[in-house]
Amino acid sequence: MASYSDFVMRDEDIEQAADLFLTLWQENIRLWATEKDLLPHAELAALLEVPLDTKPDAGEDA
Amino acid sequence: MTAEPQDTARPWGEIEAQIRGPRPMSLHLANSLMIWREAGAGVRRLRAGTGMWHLGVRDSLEALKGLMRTEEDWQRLYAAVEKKASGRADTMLRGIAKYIAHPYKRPESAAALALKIGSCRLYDFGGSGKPILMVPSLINPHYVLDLKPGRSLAAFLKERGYRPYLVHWYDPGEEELRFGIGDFVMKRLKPFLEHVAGVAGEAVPVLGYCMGGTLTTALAARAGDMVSKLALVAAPWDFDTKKPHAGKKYAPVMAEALAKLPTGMPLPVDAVQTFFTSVDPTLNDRKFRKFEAMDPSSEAAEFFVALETWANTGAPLPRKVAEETMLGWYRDNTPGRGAWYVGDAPVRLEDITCPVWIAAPEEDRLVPQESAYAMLDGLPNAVAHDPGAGHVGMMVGSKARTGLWEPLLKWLEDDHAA
Repeated sequence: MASYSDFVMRDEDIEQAADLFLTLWQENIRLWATEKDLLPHAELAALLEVPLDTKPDAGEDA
Repeated sequence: MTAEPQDTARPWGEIEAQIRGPRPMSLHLANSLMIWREAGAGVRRLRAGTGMWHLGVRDSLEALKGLMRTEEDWQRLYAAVEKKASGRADTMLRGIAKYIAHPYKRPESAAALALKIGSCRLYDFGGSGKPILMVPSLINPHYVLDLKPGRSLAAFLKERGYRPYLVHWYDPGEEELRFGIGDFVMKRLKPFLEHVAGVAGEAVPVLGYCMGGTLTTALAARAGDMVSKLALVAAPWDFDTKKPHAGKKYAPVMAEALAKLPTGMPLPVDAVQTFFTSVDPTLNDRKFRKFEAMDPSSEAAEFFVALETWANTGAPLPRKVAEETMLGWYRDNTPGRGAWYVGDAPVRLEDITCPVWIAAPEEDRLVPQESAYAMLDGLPNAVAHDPGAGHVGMMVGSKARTGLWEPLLKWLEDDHAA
């Protein structure tokens, strides 16, 4: 019969998962920041002319 | 020279005392703190299957998500991430505080002022060795070529029979503030070269690092009779590389920023530093968290302080220089297209007839190797060398001696007549 500990992660595993997540989280930002081209002011302004509440993903996490 | 030039420059120690941590401080703090403050929200996005996950991390995050099987697992992960993220932010802040409070002061080498023109100075390391002219970038101070004992290319060359002459650009004076890059080459570097060649009584080797390498390329094209060999270390030439680089991406943004500055205003140091931050906006956070764990009395900690202070010390870029580099070089690739003017004519690689050594590492994130190696096509007598480290690490890091200094020395000593 399966015990409670078979279904619940150990504390050390959670700690390790949290460390891994944070490293990947920062790496995700680094990768996007260094690979995406920056928008010149005119292009950024043009993009922002789209009303935010009419965008299809309005309210969603970006 | 009939009279000894007077050295009225402020000691670097005084200048560095004004440096307070990574610049611009607010940008670095905002970067780090936002990353860690948002981490908990990142966990929620991972669980919900939303968020923009880069391909480079997507699989690992999916695997991590697969481990979370119960509501309780997710709640515990969220709590642990929040706690650890806050801890990372605190560590970063402590690292910066520890850096600012660190007592290390870089010892200035015993070099004598040989020549001063405007605000620019030429320092002589002395001795009876063969004179060599060393030219740093206009962006950061000269001393990356002479960082500290054991981490100084200038000292290394002196120990091995050379007499280094090192250019110090300093803050641009009234005259230099009106300079373009060509003026620095023709009105500063050329007289410095004349002085060094005069001491030697013959043509001398010239070494240029980073932007200083691009400047010395023009110098060798304009005053080739005084240059016996040209060593270029991470010197950008072709800015239209296939490999993306931050400078190319930032060029249109920098063009807009420059256009908004008051007429003639130089590009402030913090603007230049922002440009460098774009290479990796997370780098400072990782660096300072690592520094926080270091023994402050260790050489590694002193090295960190010396290098970080060097990286954060700089002079405003004269407006014309900023426009030439950001727009002319990065955006329009004038050097690579043969359209970069120094004096009244474009700089042509075929005018450089001396042996040329092009050192450029594959892992350089500031100057792509491809950009530096592009010169090989136009130079009749050039060889390439990969120092096997990063842009700054190759000059002062643990691999500098075997990766750059010793191969450079061997190349300088080789007879290239054949």
